[in-house]
Amino acid sequence: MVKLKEVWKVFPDGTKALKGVSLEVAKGEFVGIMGPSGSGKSTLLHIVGGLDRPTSGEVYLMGRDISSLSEEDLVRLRKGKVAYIFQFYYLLEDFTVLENLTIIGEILGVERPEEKASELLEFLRLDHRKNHKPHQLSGGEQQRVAIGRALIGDPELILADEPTGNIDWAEGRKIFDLFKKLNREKGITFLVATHNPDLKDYFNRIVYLKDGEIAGS
Amino acid sequence: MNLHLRIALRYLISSRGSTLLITFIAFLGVFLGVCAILLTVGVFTGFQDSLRDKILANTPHIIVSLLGDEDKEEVKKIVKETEGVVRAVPFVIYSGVLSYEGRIQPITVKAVDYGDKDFREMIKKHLKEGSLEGLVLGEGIAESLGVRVNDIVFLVSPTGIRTPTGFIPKTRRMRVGGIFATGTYDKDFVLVFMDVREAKRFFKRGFSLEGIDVYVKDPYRVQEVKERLEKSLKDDLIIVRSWIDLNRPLFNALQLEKLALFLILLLMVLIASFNITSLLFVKTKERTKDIAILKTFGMARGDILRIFLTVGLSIGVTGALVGTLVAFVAAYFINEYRLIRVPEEVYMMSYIPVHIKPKDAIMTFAGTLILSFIASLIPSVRASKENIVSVLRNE
Repeated sequence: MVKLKEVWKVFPDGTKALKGVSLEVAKGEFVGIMGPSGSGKSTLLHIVGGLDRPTSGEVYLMGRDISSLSEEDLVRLRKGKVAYIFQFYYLLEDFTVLENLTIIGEILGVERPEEKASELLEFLRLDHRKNHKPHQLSGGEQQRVAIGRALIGDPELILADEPTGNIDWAEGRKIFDLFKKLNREKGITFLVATHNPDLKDYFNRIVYLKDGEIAGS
Repeated sequence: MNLHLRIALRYLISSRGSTLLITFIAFLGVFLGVCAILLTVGVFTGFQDSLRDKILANTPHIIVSLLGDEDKEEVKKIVKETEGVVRAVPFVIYSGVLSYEGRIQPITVKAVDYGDKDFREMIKKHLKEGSLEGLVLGEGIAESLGVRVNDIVFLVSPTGIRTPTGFIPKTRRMRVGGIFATGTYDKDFVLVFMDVREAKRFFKRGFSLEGIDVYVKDPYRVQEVKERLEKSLKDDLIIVRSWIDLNRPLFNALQLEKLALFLILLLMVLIASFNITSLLFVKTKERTKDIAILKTFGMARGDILRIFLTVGLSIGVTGALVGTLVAFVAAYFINEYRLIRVPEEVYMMSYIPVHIKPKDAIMTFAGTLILSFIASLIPSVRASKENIVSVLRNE
């Protein structure tokens, strides 16, 4: 599903975010990337998802080398197949919960996006909130909306960057329970960056990052 | 509804942040600019139209001047048979002086056949008092001399009579038969009608200019009739001039002024469209997260560009539409209550109507759209180039 070979990422200010990272994730795995802040977890996810390019090295996504793809080709590749969940949810504040899912569904070319969005909100126990704006929701609810948004295109890979970083412990466990359920029942591959050691039991495998290098797994 | 349009409209009316007020100010700028352009250009067009109508009502549509010894009756016959011609009135122009109780007034005598049906029909519209029995004076001449109908005036011919002591002016006592008024200075203060037989007896073969006044069915298509006349008359000594040729400098000047004013007022819309630019910069700044997330989930750069262009253009379109609508409503009230009053003796009209022509409205609308598009382009392109990772990293 994902393969990284000797990936380096150096930012224009000279910061070395990744130093020769090599990693493979098989289809259906539930992999955790752990490490302290600034260890390169987010950068790694951005590169895997094709949102950013490595300075050097090779990145394969679903068997295809994406390091040299044009922006249009990258958009086409990740459209629907890769989904993202962020620590700060990044919901569209001007739109309702239902619209947040429907709009992404329309971008991804989902058939009957509104119907599918409603089903997902029911599955996520958010149907009573569908006409609310994101700022009217709790942190946990907002993250569940973000999960619904990620699921609307039936992705094969979900990249989650600190998905529980902004919600309380109990809510965080519920989110991870949901991830695990999706991984088990739908076979979705998960690559989750977190620095919360309490959640490590959920993962099939954990990759530890430190100063941009893999420190163990 | 299209996805881009839906997102754009939501961004447009969103009260999030401080942009609702700026949106309204941007709209107001475009609205006022469009309204000002249409009303100002409309006043100019109204003045131009009224002036033209005044000219058309009081002057012949075509003047055929006979400079040689052509048979006037033959020329008249050809003119009358030409397609589009309604009336043809032959005339002879003489110069003279009118005198009454010590007061004198230089005049142009237009000698016509008082029995001519076409002439009688034409003069009927302007005859204020009296009849065609004697001289028919312009209202201005009658006022200057203090003459009334049935008064006796002296007509003086400057060519005079040769005597052993030299030339002495020839004079004749004439009765004032009627007074006409057209509302135009060059007629009412200058022109005197006289029966052609009597004029010829008095002026003999003095300096004169012969011609035919021609009235056409559709004065706005006069050039076509003029071309037909030139074709059928085919004579270098016959000059055919239409009312458009005769008033070309006046209408060209008015047209130029109108264009200059249109362009100056368009600058107002240009300045207003800068508001759209700054508004879009604020809107895109407030929505960098949205842009990043939409791009993350596969929205193409072109689609982001289209969303923000739509926001900018929506302001332009709405401002232009409302501005046009308000301008038309204002024009209706200005015309209905004759709000723009002017001195009649100066402008030949008592009020100036506002005529908003569809062509002017379309040009203003198109100009506003183009300016709004240009104003929206830079912030929209910048938004579409927003780097996802730098947005996510900066959060």
